[in-house]
Amino acid sequence: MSDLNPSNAAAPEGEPTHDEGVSYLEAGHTIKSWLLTGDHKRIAILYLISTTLFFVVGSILAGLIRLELTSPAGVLLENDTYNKVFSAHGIVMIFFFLIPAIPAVLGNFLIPLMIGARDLAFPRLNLASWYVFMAAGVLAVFGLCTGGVDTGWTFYTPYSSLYSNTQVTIVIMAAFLAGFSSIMTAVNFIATVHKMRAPGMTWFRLPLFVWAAYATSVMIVLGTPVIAITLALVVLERVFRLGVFSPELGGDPVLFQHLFWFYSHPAVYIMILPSFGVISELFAAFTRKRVFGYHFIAFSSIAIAGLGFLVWGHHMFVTSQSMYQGVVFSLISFLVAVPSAIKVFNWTATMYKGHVRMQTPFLYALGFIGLFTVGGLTGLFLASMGTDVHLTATYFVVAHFHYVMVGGTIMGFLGGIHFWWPKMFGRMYPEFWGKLSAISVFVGFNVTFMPQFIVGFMGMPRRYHYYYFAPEFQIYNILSTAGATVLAFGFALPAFYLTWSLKKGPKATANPWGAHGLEWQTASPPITANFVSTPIVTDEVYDYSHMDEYEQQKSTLEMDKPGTPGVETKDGEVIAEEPK
Amino acid sequence: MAAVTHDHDHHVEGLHHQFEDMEQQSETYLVGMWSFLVSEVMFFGAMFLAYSLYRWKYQADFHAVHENLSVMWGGINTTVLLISSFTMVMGVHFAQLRKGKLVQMMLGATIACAFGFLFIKFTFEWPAKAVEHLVPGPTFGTIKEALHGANPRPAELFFSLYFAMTGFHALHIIVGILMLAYLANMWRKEHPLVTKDYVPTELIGLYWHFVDLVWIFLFPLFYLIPR
Amino acid sequence: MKGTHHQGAHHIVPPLTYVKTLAALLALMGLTIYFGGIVFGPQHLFGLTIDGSYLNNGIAMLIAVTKAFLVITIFMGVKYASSLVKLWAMMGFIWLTLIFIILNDYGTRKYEPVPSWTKEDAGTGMNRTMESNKDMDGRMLRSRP
Repeated sequence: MSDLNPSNAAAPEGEPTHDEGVSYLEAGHTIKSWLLTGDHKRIAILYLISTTLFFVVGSILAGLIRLELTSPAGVLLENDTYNKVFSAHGIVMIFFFLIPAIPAVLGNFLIPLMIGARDLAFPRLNLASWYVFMAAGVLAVFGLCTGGVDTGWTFYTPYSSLYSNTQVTIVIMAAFLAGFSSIMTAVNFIATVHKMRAPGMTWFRLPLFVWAAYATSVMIVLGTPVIAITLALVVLERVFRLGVFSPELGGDPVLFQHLFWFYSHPAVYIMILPSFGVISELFAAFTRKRVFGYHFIAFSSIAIAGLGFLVWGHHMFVTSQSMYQGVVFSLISFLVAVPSAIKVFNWTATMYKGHVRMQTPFLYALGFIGLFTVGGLTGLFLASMGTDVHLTATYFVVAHFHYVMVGGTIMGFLGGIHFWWPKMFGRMYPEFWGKLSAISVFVGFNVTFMPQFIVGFMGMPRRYHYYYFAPEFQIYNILSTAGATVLAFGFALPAFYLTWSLKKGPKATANPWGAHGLEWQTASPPITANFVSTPIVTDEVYDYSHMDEYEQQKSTLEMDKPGTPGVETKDGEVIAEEPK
Repeated sequence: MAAVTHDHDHHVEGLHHQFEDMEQQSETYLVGMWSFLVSEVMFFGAMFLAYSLYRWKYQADFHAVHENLSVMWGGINTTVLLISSFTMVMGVHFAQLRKGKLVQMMLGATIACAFGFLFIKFTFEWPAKAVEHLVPGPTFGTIKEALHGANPRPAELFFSLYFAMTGFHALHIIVGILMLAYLANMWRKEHPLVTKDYVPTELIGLYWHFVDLVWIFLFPLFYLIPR
Repeated sequence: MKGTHHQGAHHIVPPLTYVKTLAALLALMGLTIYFGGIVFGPQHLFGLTIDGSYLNNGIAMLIAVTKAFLVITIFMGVKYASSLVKLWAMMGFIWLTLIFIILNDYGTRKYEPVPSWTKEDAGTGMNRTMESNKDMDGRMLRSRP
């Protein structure tokens, strides 16, 4: 390690000069230089583009569902088509957006930067994972266009294996491949976090995002192979009649549900944990404080990763699962609330006596707290065996998991994208439009899904496209659809103004938020090798100082009033010089 | 790779740009491979769980119908795989000593064993099941004697598990052969990535031993079911 | 400075160790075939009567675990590896025990669904009824006649 330069350590570096190398965006302009890259930052951008496309596909399908439900007799979809639409919505959103979104986009981009490494441990594996992911995506879209799937995203046997006359085989192969891609990414992250940390970057100096990504990777490595083999066995049952799950062939369908949820419950934490990591970063940066209870948040990620594997049975309270086992699963499901609550309380405690700045990423983070808390608390209703019997397969469940997965993951994802946008592309987004989108997403989301709790509690079953037996449900469904429209507006806005900002946005400095962390010490956008020389970490994590606050105020003014140098006081007066 | 700014002034042969030194590279490779193997353990583990459940439920039927499997061929295949594991580990040993010719010999022996295993499986074992109508499907169990008195449904379940588990194992062997062949070719061409650093050879070895490990459990579970 | 020449840091195992390991593995394989063929009959242990097949299964799994342990520690070199590699080598096998919680469900059910095919084709069917499947009077509980 003779090539380290201690004198260069924690000092923020300014704009890259010629001899420091060019930014990763400028390193090559051909399509080939993107498609054959080994650079984790470019692969993150590839993932950003592809997951966004899948998000658009999934959102259009969601729009069709909401449109259909505005009338008690259905509006435009046939029974079969509706089944295919909600299945496709679930499959595309879960396997191709929610699971890869934060780890593959923000994780890929940030982990090496945050720990001070030149790249991930296995760059070519990283690229391969993107190709496998794209192959999976193309296969899934092909399957969904040439017949679709009507099993729901859960592929329950024996319907999926013996009866469904749709493209189950192709779509399951796609889910299998997508799982393989996430295992590749996870192996990469694990090796990277263990072995590639810069000198001085101890485990307890790691940003909480890295902790969360590490815990997620461990869960992916331990859980994903189980669903891979389970889905593969369903395909074997469909194609070769190897009956492991079908009662007609001697198998047991409940075993499928056990194995499916052994992965798919942890998968919820695979989706939400990286988001927890993002939220921790946002709270530190926008309250200008060390996250309250850093160690508790770090270890609660690990606790969630462990406990998350022990609660899958709460999806099966209405199957033939043993009552005794159900009681234990119910109890452990309540226990998972403890580490989640530790996180929420610590984040809110971080704001106390902090310099809170209500900028777009922080609005998303606050929205996250609100939505995730509602989602988590309604989860407790569903974890109680008695209540669950009433609520199973109603819109209450639908609302609950949308609050957790959309309210949790997408709020974290969008907050993170806004926060690290200047780092990724070297441009600031327009603050007004950012705030508008954050508020419309929060409002739209609540209007969409809050009525679903009520209508679900009243007994509206999920996966039905009509409810003429209970026309009184219509008002809730119309409310929900109206909310979905606002939500769609909130999601569509960033697509426009972020694209606009790529060319027209104000140029970002290396550290526009005055945030603490290695990723802010290199240029925006970073050079291909990430750092001019390997950094040596000497300060503690989230070590915020007054000096950096000036940076944040300056860039805030730049976003509000482009071309005005300096900072703004509380009275709206502009001071050009840094107050000493 | 796009243009990469190396901040090493010295370039070590066989060292990738993202690592500081060989020590770090080797350890990173090992951690990566082992975390992948953890994944593989869970992959096969789920099938072993399904097997345990049905074996527990239908012990007598499984015993009756398992008489169709030949302990002799199973034993020979176990021996072949154990020997291949030995030749593999010797290959890694010679890689540590940088004896390229011996490494190639040992890798060749491992590949030969792997083909032997597949040959026995695909000529003596699997086709015999088709002849006796023991392949799951509409004609399963139409030859009553082949069931040895077992209920056809649990018997079909037994052979479903048999073909699924040994099938996925055989698939891993085939992937292993491809990787071993690729590795042997790199040794033949004296590629610095393998000759200067034995760890890539060790990684393929780890994978190969894992395949052996799965068979160590498959053999008693399928071929030696007590009454 | 460590790692100046990486081979110095790694343990080179004498080939004789590998030969001995192979011999042990082959011997264990012979042993497992031998014990697989023995019919033990009912066994009386600590006042409990257990089926002889449990003994066969126990021995077979014990031998398999021993063989696996030999392969992992010596062939896969975990014995000579860093503690980080040891941790990851153990992780999968520890986690695998969790998935076996599923068996606990099947062992503690009050109502075991009876497969439809047992009626039309009796065979041996489910030959092990679980104690928990019986009600207070010792009658079998069935989901539906």
